[in-house]
Amino acid sequence: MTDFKAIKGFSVKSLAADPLPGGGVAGATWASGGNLNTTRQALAGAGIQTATLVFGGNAGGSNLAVTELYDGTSYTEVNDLNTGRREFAGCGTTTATLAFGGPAVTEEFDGTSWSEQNDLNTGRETLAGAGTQTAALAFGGTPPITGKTEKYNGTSWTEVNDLNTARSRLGGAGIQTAALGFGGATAPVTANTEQFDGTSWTEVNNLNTAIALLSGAGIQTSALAFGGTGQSTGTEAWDGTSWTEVNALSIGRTEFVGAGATNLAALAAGGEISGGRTAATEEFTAGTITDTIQNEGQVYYNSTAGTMNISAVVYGTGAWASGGTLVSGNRRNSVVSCGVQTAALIAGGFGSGSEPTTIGFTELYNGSSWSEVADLNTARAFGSGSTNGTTGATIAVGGTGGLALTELWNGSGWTEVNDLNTGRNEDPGGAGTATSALVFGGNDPAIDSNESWNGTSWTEVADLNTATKALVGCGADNTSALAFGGSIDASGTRTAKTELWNGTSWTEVNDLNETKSNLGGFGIATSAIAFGGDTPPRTVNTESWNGTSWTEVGNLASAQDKGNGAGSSNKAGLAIGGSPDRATTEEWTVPETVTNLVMSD
Amino acid sequence: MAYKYCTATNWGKDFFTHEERTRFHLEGHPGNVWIVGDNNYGDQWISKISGVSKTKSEAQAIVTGVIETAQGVWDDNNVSGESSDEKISRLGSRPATYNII
Repeated sequence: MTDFKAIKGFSVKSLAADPLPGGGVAGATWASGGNLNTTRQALAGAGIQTATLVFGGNAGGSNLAVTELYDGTSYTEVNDLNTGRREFAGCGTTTATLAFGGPAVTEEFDGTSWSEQNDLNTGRETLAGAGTQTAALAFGGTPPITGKTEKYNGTSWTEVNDLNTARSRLGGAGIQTAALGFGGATAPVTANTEQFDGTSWTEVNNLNTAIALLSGAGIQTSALAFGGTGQSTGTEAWDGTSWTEVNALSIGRTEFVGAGATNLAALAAGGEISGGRTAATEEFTAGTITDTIQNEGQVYYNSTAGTMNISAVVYGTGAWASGGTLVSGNRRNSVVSCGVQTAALIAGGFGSGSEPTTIGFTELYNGSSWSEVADLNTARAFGSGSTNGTTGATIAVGGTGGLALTELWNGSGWTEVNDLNTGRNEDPGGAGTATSALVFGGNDPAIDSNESWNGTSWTEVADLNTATKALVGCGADNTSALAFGGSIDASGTRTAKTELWNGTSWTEVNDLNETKSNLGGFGIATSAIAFGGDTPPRTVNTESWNGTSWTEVGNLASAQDKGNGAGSSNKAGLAIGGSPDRATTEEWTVPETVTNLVMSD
Repeated sequence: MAYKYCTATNWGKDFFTHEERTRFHLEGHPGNVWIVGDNNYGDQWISKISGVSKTKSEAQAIVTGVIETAQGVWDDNNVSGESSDEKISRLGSRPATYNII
């Protein structure tokens, strides 16, 4: 072996095979999660890998109503279903869940308790479900084996077009307007896969293995099918076109819960195993750069292939997924929102209605749910602050009526500190942290004023090139920031302009692809996301900034403007609230994996 | 591929991790029986979880014993007048023994 260590200072390993089985889902494996408190099979569930609700089932006696909440580590018992049952379906999130079937009963969970709703038109067991609490889909089931499909609109079920292949004990994934049904029992067991477009089902490529009593997770373009007949450990990943066999479960099982947002983050819980039932949970996760044998930049010699290789991080396709709902209700035009996808803060803004009042509510997000903490001292909206602050330290600046107020958050409460030199509202841009921040633009007519915060006081620094309001700002501190979008005059002329701050001056760089104001965003000067906004009309458009230019990426689930962002890069963040009246959160994630690359000249 | 056999109770989170699953074969079976790929990483995992080593025949006997017990429970669980299909619908199929690898 080449004495690379002598040249470059480290050894090159000689390996018979690549240490990584490949990028993306091929490198993902199942790891153990927390155990259910109540061991059972034939249960249903909803949510994502780190926030799952499981309910009902059977442990050999009468049907169970037990409901448990999983936080990514352990299960906690919460209020029971009103009707104990088994072999039914669930969908939604942990705070807005729907349980249906087994046989016809529908119940909604609001994060605290279950309430009965209108029944399915066709009562059935062993059906599959997809969607959300207010836009759900039920399909397949027995007896007799059926392809019946029903849509739920938050109030009642309506029959729509049947599956092409009637079946029971199938897997399901997706949302009401883009669902996937796969496998199941038709006599015999089938590998058939169908996708639903909101109106009708179309046959697509089959599973590699015909199987029933399996579970599914994900969305129509990124799903996972796992477990099933014969206590199978088999796992197959769907990429929107075809199924590929990937790493297997450790514990083969049938009649269990599957949940998860994509084919890179799923969960299997409970179920029937040979001779009994299991309480075990397994979590399907892609390899990460924290794996000690899978570090980015590991150089090695593949003695079988005869190639020099390096392991490298690769990024998948970003997408928005539903997150938690604000406790205090609808929120737009917050004063400040900041943090990261799993630990964020929002303060102030407007609530609901055409003539809303300003609010001082502050809420913290833990990656799955929001909780209220101490209010701002002065309720207000239209402000800004340190958009790269944290849940433990940030500042909220300016606001309604042209306030110059600055409030400092210390993790438990807000304290008034030194005012801005120029009062400002109409959503100025902000960047930085509680000790090193920047606030720019805002007001009506728009201003170009720019102020720098050193942790104690504000100093006027070089102006924006273009006076702008209703824009977005982000940046690591007061020496590095990005300003994008907004309105540039009293008549509300919208702009796609992007400006970059280097600590001394602003420079115009490449524009957004879409011209808009009242947009949301997050990130830093070299890596940011812009989402939503008013073009008009309101848009679902999302753009990713790589330090040089903007690229259109995956859209929001629904159009919005006046939303609030949190996140520290273009790889992960949050879109919080927004207009029209919205209390929901969407989570932006670009999946990250490590893969093997062959080095070449 | 060679395997080792042990028993251990799955305590939940981090009983086996993503990284461990990339390093060795792992299967869970009734009776808390685990089949583990025979390499250094598998040995380290057995040590981590305080696994009690078993021979393949001992592991097979544990798995079979659990399933046979479940078969007995299934056989004894009857409702007067119930057909075999109705019993399967109520309890699921009769547990079946199988051979581990």
